[in-house]
Amino acid sequence: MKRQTMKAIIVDDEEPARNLVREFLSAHRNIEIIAECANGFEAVKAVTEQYPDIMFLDIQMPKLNGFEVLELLDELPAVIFVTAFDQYALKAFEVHAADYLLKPFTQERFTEALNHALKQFEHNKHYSVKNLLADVKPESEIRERILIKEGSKVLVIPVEKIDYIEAQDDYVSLRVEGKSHLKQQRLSLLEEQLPKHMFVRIHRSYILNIERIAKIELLAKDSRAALLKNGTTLPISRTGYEKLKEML
Amino acid sequence: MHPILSERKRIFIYLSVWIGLGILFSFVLKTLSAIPAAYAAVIALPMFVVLSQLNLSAWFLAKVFPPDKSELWKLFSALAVSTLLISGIWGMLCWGWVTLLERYFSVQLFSEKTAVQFGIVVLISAQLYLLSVGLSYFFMTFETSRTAERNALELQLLAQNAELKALRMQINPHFLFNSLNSINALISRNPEKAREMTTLLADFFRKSLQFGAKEMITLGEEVSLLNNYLAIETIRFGSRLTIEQNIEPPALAVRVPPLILQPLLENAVKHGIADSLSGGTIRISAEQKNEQVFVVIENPVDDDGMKKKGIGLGLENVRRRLQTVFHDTADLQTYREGSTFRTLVYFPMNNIFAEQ
Repeated sequence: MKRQTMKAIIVDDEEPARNLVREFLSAHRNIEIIAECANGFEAVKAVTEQYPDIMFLDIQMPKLNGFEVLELLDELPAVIFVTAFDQYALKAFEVHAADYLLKPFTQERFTEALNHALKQFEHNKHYSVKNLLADVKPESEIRERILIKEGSKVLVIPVEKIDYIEAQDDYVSLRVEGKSHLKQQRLSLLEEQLPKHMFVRIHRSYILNIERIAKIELLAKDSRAALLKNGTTLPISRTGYEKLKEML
Repeated sequence: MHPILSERKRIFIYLSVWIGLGILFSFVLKTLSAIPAAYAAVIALPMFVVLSQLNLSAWFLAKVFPPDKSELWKLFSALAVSTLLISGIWGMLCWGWVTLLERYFSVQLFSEKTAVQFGIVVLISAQLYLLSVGLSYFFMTFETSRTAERNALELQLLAQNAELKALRMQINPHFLFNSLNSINALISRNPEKAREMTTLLADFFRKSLQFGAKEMITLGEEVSLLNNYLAIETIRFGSRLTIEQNIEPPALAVRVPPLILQPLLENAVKHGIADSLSGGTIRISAEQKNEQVFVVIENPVDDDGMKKKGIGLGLENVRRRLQTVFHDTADLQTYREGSTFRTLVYFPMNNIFAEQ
């Protein structure tokens, strides 16, 4: 039985490091390198457009690190992390990486990692890898920026630029500088990730950046609305008002 | 706090000594003035307790006029005035106490109270006061030398810790592993370059260890280490890293603590090149101006709307080392001008290590 050709992409911000992976891969005839990426943005674009089977992924890269790249992808290839840092091994295990190569490494160790990836690929190709990620504990660490993928493009939005966030079915809509950006995430999870001194859940469907408030209007008894500096009006629930009062 | 009053044990010893002196004085009184022993004790003991309290002030005199910093005439006039005052007060109190006792017990203790007797009393207390002052000075000098010794030790420890920390920072494992990975990659494609990188890496670590063991090195030596580091990073980052250098030769002679600039350069490469998509230019300049040497390291920063975090641990460490070695004659400052981050360090040209 002839084995099918597998598509691989190499993501590393250092050229010599990419060259090494390319060289070690040349011993494996059934692997085709479809892209080399020098940063996370290129990686997200390449994966979204070219559907690789295997990804060699550096962790420490400018602006968008390896884990953030994975977070932005809908369909994951089998991932082999390639890094000089050993402190991310546990996190790599949590995101179901096929292997974790510590720089520098030998051809033997590389082949072993590649075999792990091929095995994982065989095992997982019947269902979406993203399902595997569903049981990963959602991270509730406070973020300084929110990552959004629009098509194959990645937007990095600093949290202080967000005016408010609205829940829309399975998505959240971030209102930033007059534009809306959709992200697939639950509002409650996003609420946990936003800095507490800046954002308040004012309503079941809204999180508000308190610096944007112009004034709070009383519409009727127990019914209030926030008037924002840009003229938008958002509803405030009773518990939302309690939280807001505490902050202001 | 008064050293005697600061501990219960010391107060007890101090009072015991004075009561001992009081008992001694009672005997003298009994023998010389033919006063019954009981009366002599009733006169002398309370008065010596009072005198012990008055003499506590001797320490404050010593404190206000430290022997090495006071002008002699000021010290002696202060000593004269306070001695007269203390012994005068005590003399009067003795007189009053004796008069009171004579009234109360309706006895005549002294056939007559003469000026000579008063003079003797004053003289005794003056002598004891001078003794107290002398002991205070002795105690103070002892304390000062002990504190100085401790300070010197602490300073030495601080310097050692700083050096250790610098060394530990120096041998950044990720720098080493990434460099080894580059060599691994170069071996088959470009063996010449792999060889060059191996030598550069060996030189870098050798210099780090060599310089790190010294107290001071020249700026020229530090710059050679920086160049070594930059040559390695250029191979790793390729076209993302360009370097501009403008170092004036006279500045190279200044003596600086080893590995003081290297962490700053590492910072510049990390934030200006490794964390940036397109990379940029690192600029290093050094010049001598008015007996000072100014070193500036510049790196690009791109404004992606992120708030700048405060001065990093690495920079703080460098600043602390500068402070330990040069006190206020050297410093580190950072500025951000548009898309340029600038780190300035200045050293005194003729510092105390210049002759070594």
